[in-house]
Amino acid sequence: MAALVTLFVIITISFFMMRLAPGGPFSKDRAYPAEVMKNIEAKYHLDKPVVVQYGIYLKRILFEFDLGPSTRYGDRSVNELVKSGFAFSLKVGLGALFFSLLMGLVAGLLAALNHNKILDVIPMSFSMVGISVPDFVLAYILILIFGVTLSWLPVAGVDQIQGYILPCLTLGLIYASSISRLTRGGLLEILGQDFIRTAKAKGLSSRRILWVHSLKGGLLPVVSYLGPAVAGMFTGSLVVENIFQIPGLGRFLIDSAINRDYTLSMGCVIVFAVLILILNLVVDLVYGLLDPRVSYE
Amino acid sequence: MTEKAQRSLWQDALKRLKKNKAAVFSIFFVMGIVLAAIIGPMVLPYTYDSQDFDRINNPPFTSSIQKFSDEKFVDLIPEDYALFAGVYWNTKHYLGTDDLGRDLLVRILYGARVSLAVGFLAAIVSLLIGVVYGSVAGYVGGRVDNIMMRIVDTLYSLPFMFFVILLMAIAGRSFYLLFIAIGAVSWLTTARIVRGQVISLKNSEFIEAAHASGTGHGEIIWRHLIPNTLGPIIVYFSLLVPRVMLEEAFLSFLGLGIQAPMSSWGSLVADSRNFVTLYPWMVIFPGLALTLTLFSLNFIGDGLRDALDPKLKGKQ
Repeated sequence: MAALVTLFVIITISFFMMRLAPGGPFSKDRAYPAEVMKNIEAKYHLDKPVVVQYGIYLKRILFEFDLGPSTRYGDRSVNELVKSGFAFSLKVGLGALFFSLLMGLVAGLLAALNHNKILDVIPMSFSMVGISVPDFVLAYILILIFGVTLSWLPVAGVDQIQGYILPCLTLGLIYASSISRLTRGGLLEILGQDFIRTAKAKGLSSRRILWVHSLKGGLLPVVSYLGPAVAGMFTGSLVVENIFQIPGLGRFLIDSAINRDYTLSMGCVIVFAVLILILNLVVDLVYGLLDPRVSYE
Repeated sequence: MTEKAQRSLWQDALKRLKKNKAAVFSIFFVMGIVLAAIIGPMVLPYTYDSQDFDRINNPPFTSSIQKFSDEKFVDLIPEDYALFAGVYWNTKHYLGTDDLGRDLLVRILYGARVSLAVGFLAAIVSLLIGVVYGSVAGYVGGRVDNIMMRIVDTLYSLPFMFFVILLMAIAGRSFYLLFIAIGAVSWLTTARIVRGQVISLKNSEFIEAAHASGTGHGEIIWRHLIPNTLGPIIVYFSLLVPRVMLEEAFLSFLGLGIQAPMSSWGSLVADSRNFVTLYPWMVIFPGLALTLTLFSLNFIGDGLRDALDPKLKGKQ
């Protein structure tokens, strides 16, 4: 329910922000004759009052799942464009999520189990770097190392599957650093608690203590961080798609916002928002499974 | 009886901060960057848009002038370079030039001005909104507090960066809009922190005493409550600045922030990205400046947190 309210707020804010800005989608190109302009405006309902436009738009989205025609690519609907971009963005996002969880959990576990030893210091120093380095700088560092110097991986384009490795690695590394710190912190806290000492006193193997008793509670901070992390990864995909020339949603969003293609940029924002809201919901559910103390209204 | 010297909370914190070597080093580093950003452009004989058409794409250093000229299709002027430690160093443009023959060092220093100014100003904007909002909500309490924090919760769930992108794209890309936009979307956490602090403080005796002596509500908030929440606010501010700078760099990189010929660290990387394989220094140096500064600011923030709130030490 709350998610639907949020979605409604998102649609409303972005709609009015786009409409209240000076300049329309057709004001940049060379001026059309007045009659032509009138026809175009009628086609996109731009001649009606803003409130009426809003009503039409809302109705079309909610009841027909139709994001409308693109005002720039006249012959293609926003649904089509978004669908083509979505496939790329989703692959980048899921790949980044996979990398970040893999690297973050492994590094965090290593650090927590070797508290204050060399295997703790090294991953944590790397994670400090990862937190500070901006995604676009990291992208170029990886390009220069793996693309140019070693020429192992393609530096742009996703025609082959290898093309996804560098973009996903870029985003994954950045979020892996936060995940590793949270994993370490959560585990250290759990490992210091009484029930772990009880388990040890009972003579349970340390492996069983780690996998059965500690991990479930220790990973709670990581799970709750995944919500904002997922949102961040999709925002970061704007940069990564730009650098690695991936024709995803992020590219569409930036280009359409600059070209004042109202319907397309709103479509992108809405799709991103829905994606983030759904993933947040999943995170909440997983959190509830891991921690029975959490109850839902 | 020997009397122990009294130390205030702040003196204690300062002492703890001084022990943190990484934080102290970072403070000096950031101060150095700030000084260089202020003085550098005055001392250097170039400005951010002065072009030198004879020296386009010149590197900061090269192992062989001849080889560089052949491989990278750039005619270097041998007199510019001095041999030191087996490498030819550029003595005219210390960090080389970009594709339009502009001095990279001076552009990075101008970029430092922009990036630091946006970082601090936007963080201050967000701090002001957050402190006022949070302290009012916490102080008034009851239904008003409920509604105000519900609004914050709703805003929290919005993917704000997308709105900032829309805003910057459609409303023109001015410097002021940039930090207002960033500041306006990052006040939510400040509001939450301040509200929590105010709630835990507002029933304490000294506030009651202030009430009893007839102090007005506004003055109680301003004179008594906010100063007592200063510790967490400072810590949050110091961690907010690098985050805001990162957001500015992100927007400028996408072409939605600072516009050419003015430079910011984000836009410098973006401007030279097409040459990254051929002339990597144009991307590496601004990227390095940004990363190192963010790195130090994060260290300072961590150090301040450990110093002002030792209970939190070692936790995320």
